[in-house]
Amino acid sequence: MAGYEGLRYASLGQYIPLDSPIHRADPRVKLVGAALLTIAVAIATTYSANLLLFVAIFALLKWARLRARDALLSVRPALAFILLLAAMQLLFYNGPEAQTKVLVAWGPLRISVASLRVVAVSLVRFVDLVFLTSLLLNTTTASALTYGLERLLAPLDALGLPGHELSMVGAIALRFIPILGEALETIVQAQASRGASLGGRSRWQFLQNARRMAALIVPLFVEAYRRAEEMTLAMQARCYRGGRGRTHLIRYRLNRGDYAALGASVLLFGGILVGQYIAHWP
Amino acid sequence: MADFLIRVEGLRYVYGAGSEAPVEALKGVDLAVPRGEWLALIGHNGSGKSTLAKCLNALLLPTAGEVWVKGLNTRERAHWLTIRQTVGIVFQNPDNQFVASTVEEEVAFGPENLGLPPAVLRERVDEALEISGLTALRQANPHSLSAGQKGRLAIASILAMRPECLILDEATAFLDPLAREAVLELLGRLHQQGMTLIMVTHHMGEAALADRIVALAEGRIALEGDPRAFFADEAALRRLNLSAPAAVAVAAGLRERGVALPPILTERELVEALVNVKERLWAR
Repeated sequence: MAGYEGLRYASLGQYIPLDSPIHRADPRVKLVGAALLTIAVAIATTYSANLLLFVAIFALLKWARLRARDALLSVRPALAFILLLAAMQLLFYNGPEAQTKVLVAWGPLRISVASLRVVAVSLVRFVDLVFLTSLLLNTTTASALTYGLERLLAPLDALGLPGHELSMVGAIALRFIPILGEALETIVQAQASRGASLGGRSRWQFLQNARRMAALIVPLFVEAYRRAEEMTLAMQARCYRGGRGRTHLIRYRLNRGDYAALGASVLLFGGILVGQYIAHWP
Repeated sequence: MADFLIRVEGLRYVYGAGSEAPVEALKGVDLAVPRGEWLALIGHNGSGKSTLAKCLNALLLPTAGEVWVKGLNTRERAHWLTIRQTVGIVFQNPDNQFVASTVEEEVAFGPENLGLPPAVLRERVDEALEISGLTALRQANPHSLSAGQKGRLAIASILAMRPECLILDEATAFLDPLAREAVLELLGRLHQQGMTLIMVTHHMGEAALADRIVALAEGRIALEGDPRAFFADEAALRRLNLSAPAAVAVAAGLRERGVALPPILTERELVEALVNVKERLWAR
C-alpha cells in the first residue's frame, strides 16, 4: 500500500506559502516565462544547451526557496516508467547518427554515442520540466493563476474562447489533487480492511496492477463527481456567475522586476535557439 | 410582513421530477423566519432539512409553492444575486467548498463575484478574517488548516458577502467538541449583532441554543416551538424518534425519582438547579 500512502503530502501543483521574489512576481510573467522555458527545454537537444537550462532552472528553484527533493518526490510514481523508457531508448535508439560511433553492439541492441546523448538529454529534460512545474505552481496561488491565465487568454475572447472559465477549471483541478489523494487513500484503506490485496507486489506486474487500479478508480470517480457537485453549489451560493463582472482582491501591475524577468526568459530562450541552430554548440 | 426575512409557503420539492423514480423531499412546508431569529432545523437523514435549506437561497427552486427572501421570489432569476447575497449558506465539508489556495483569497471569492472594487474587497476580507479570528492565518493554504479553522474559514467566506442570514447545513457535524465550541461561540456573537441564523443540525445540544426549533419528518414540519416547549413535549419527541439534550434528559430522570426541579434546558441550568437542591437540603 506504500505506493498510495503519502499522496496527500505530495506538493504536486499545490501552492506553498513562502516569501520569495518568485512568489511575488506577476502571474502573467510567470506563465509566459514558464512557457518559454518549457519550449526551450523541448527543443534543447545538445549537452551544452541542456546544461545551461538546467543551471538556470535550478537557480530559479533555489531563488524561490523550493526544495529540489520535494519537487522530485511529487513525481515519484512516474519514476519507474521514466527509467524504463530511458533504458529502452539507450538500447533501441535508431536515429540518423545511431549507426556511427557504436560503443556496444549485441544482436539488435546497440548502445551508441548518440543513444547515450538522447538518454542523458531526456532525463535532464524530465527533471527540468518537473522543476519548472514546481516553479510555476508552488509559487502561484490558485486565484493568481486564474487571473494570469485569464488575462493572457483575453485576446482570444473575440473568438468566443471562455478565458476565465477555462482558467478557473484548471485552477480548481489543481486544488482537487490533494483532496482526491486523500479520498483515494480512504478507498484503499477501506478495501484493504475488507481483505483486498493492494500493492505489495512488484510494480512491474502491469496487468495485475491495472486490474487492481480499476477497483480504485471507479469509486474515486464517483467520489470526485460528488465533491465537484458540492463545490458547484458552494460556488453558486457565493454568487459565482462566471467571469462576467468579477473583480480581483489583488491588483497586479507589472513592475521593473517583472519586465526584467520577462526579458531574461526571452534572452535565455533566444540564446538556446541561436546557440543550437546558428552557433552549433556541442 | 416586512419583518419576515424569509417566507416559505406550500413548498414542495421533488428530486428527479419526470424520471422513473422521483423522490418527493418536501411535501408542503410553510415557514416564516423573522429578522434576527436563530432557528434550528432538525430531523433525521432524508427528512428534507438540507433540501429546505437549499431552497432558501435559490440553489434549488420549488417544484410547487413559493419562497420569498426580503419579499423577492426565488423563482425570478433576476433576484438570485440579491437573494444569495442576503442568505449565505455554509455546507458540511469545508474541503469541498474551498476554491482558492490562500485563506485570504478564499474569503475574497464571494465579494469578488459581486464585482466590488479592490479597496472594498480588502476591507470586507479584513473584517471577515477579524471576526472569525483567522487574521494571522491569512496567507495559509486552506487545505492545511485544522478542522475548526476550516469551519470558521467557510463561515468567514460567507460573512465577507455581508449576508443578513447565515444558513449552516450541518456545518459542525464533523468537528471535535473544542472546534465545535469555537464555531458556536462565533455564531453566538453574530446572532448578538443581529444576524439571522438557520442551523441545520443533528446535535440536540446545539438546537437548544436556538430561539426556535423546527423538526422536519418525511418532508413536513412535524413539531416546532421554542426549545423549552419543544423538548418538554416528550410524547412528540418519542413519536419522532428524537432525543432531548443530555441536560433535559437528566432533569427528567431526576424528576421521575422525585427530585423537584424547575424547567431545565442547558447544562448550566441543571447545575444551578442541583446546587439549589443541595443548599435547600443543608438548610434543613
